[in-house]
Amino acid sequence: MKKLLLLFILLALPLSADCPITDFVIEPEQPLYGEDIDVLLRGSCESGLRPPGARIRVDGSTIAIELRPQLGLTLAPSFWGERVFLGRILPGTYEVVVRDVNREWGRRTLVVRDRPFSIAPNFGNEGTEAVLRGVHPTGCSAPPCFTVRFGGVPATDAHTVEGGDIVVTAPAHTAGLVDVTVTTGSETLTLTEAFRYGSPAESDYERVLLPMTVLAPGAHGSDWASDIVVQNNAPVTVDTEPRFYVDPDSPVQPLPTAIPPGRKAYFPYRFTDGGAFFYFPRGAGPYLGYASHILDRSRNTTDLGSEIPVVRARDTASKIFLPNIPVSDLFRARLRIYDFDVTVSRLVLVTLRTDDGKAFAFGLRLNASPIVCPTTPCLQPAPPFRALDLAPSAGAETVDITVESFEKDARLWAFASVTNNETQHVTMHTPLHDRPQQ
Amino acid sequence: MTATKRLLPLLFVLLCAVSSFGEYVERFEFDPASPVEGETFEVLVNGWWPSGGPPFAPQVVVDGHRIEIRFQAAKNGPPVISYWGARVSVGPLDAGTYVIAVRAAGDVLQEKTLVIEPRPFTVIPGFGPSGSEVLLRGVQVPAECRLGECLQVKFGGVPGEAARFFDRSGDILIRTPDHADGLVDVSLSTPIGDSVVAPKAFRFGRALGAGDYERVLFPVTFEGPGAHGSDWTTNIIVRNDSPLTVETAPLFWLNPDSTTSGPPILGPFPPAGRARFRELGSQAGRFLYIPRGLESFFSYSSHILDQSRAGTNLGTEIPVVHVGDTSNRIRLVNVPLDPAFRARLRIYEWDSQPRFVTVTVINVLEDEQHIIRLRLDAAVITCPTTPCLQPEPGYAALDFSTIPALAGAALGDVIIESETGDARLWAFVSVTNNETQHVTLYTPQHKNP
Repeated sequence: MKKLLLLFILLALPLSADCPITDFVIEPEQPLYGEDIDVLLRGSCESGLRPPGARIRVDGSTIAIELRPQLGLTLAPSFWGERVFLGRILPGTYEVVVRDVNREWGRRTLVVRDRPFSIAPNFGNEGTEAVLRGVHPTGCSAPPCFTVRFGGVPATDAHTVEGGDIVVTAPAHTAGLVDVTVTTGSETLTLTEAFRYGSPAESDYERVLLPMTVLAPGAHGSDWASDIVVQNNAPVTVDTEPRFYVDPDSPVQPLPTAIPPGRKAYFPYRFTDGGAFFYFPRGAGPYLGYASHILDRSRNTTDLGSEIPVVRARDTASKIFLPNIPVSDLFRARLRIYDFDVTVSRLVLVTLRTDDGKAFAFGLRLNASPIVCPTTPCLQPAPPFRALDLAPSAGAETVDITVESFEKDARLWAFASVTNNETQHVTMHTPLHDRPQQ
Repeated sequence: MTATKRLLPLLFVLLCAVSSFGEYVERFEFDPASPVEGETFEVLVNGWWPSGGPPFAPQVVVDGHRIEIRFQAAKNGPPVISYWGARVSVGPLDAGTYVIAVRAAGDVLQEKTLVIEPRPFTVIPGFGPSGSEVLLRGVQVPAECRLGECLQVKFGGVPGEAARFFDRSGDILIRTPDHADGLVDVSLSTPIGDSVVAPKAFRFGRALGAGDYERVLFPVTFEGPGAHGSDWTTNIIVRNDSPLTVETAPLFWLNPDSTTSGPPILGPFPPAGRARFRELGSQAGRFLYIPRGLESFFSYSSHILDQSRAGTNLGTEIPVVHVGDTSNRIRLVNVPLDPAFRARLRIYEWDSQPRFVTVTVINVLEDEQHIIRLRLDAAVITCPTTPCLQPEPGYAALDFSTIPALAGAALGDVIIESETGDARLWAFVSVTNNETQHVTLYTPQHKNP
């Protein structure tokens, strides 16, 4: 009876508990039209009542993120997180307001810059070659019929290439962000704060996750190697982190360099499981192609390996579903979990549901080992990671796996590999779903 | 010279045919057809261009409730007619009436009015019979009038039944009331009136068309014998983690506890239901249609397997393709062309439209290019009733061993490109060992251009 009374009192409490926002971040920091925009919200609730979700409403220049009503009861203080996908917002200045039915939680100004053309790379120094896409001077292929300026200074060696892109060489300029303009006839197109002279910031990069970058012996005499090829299809050199292109025609042992136009390079191996991040200048992503496979080299005449996806932030979710994973003594099944956000060792909930109706749930903490850098940019080489070998369960032939973060702002990715003990053929089970409902 | 003379009258006729701006545009559509408040949508435009370079590099310019999609284009070049097209992402927009205009070379080619309906909350799915359960997302329940107390949800003015919270997400489950077929407003009603209305938010009855659904493509749904004694099957498992019973197209869920005799009765997916996709036998793959708003509750496992060697191999994962994975230009890097393996390129066209694509195979070591023009064809169905959901995409396949110029090549880069920017293509190469039948895939791993 006392418990019922307590429950009644708690239910009668106003549900707009005090949950201040500690992080309210718009990503990317300075979005351009056409880029997907996320809003990251994090906070803590003294009562433990976390906001369970959000929806977006647009009203002119106000974008409201409405947190849903808080449900359920938890007495312990809790942290909460939400990653709200705004998508591609039209150019303009907006107020992003976070609110619930009772009050406003916070607001930020969002400026979506127009993108009359794109530029890659978006940073460099005097002499850096850049490609401009989206503006085609007609009837000519070089100045003076069009002019490209970096911070008001004419670029050198501007010319058009196949497909209509413009390739320019950045002129001398002092360090900092500059506008890039293209003038054709009487029309001038301006991409604001488009090119940074000097050392790049972390936000000047995009990244992908290469989940398997391993070179290591395995069970049953196997000899595993990742085979990841990166191709630069841009008409200019693309500098990457890490660098791994080496000139095959060099007479001496060369140092790795940026990838020249049209060239390919093999991503370097790591000797530990857990994958690696690959960074490249923001805007260069569409110019890069990949082939990514894992292969048992001891049997490479009978099997060219299994494809491993190249993972982008958009492929991640706070909840991952992997249905129908085979578990058998004949095969080794291993679950690998990755976190796109590097600095936290996050606890995730793994649930296994067998086809004979049993369910097992347990927590796993991902191992994060962020590096510390003396200078910027500090690009983290590897994601937090955890692997789990799935033991065969008596009576079950398959399991459905769910990997879930307690914080809904998490960006997880996971897959299960199922390897035949005899042939070492690897069958992949990756998340084939769209971003699940949060 | 003779050929040129023959073409000149045709050119003249075509130039006359496209002499008014509106006729430069053949298709001008929104996807989804009726976007609502807060929903990102695409504008699809394609047509002919009479001279110079065709329109390209669209920019979206907003001026109040007029939205212009401005293309760069030239009209003073040589009189060469070219086909052009683009898909431009717009939104999300707030509710209201907009004029969407397409402009190129300074002229408005065409414009349309678009009404964006308000959506203070969303009804998922947006159609269904009386008595079906739906999900309400984004309802702000007033503190003074709670669900199950005085707050009512009305469909066309008739209160829904058995409203309850689904879980801690704040989504509400509710049963639709008895109502005649048709499109209705859904409202939240308190004792002081209908305070919040989502106009035209639910249709009693059947879906009208593909716009009422989301879809995924299963690129391989093949079952049958293959080369070298192989016996292929596709194993696609689909799971519904939504709280609703979901009527997919096609239906393929089978009650595992059914004890009825006779042929199995395929039904809609119950919550937590799981089933094997049964529509096998097509080389072109199949679409699975799921009512709009519910696809993200679904998860999949999809593999192709040689059953004659099933003890050594659990098969190869085949991606499940979403519309966001498609592109008008696809590049597949470092594809092995070794004669010990069979390399086959498969190309899919999301819109089930007949279309030509250009396939360029670059012999990597020799740096030679081989260009092939392929026509994608779709088995388009016609239906006596709505919705008419195309079961298959446009499709073509190409065995690289049939290209004599590639004999002896070890590696190839493959580029698949449509003639216009509005195409939604997907493609992959399967490389199969002739002895072990192990399949290695090369799928598009790049970001869409």
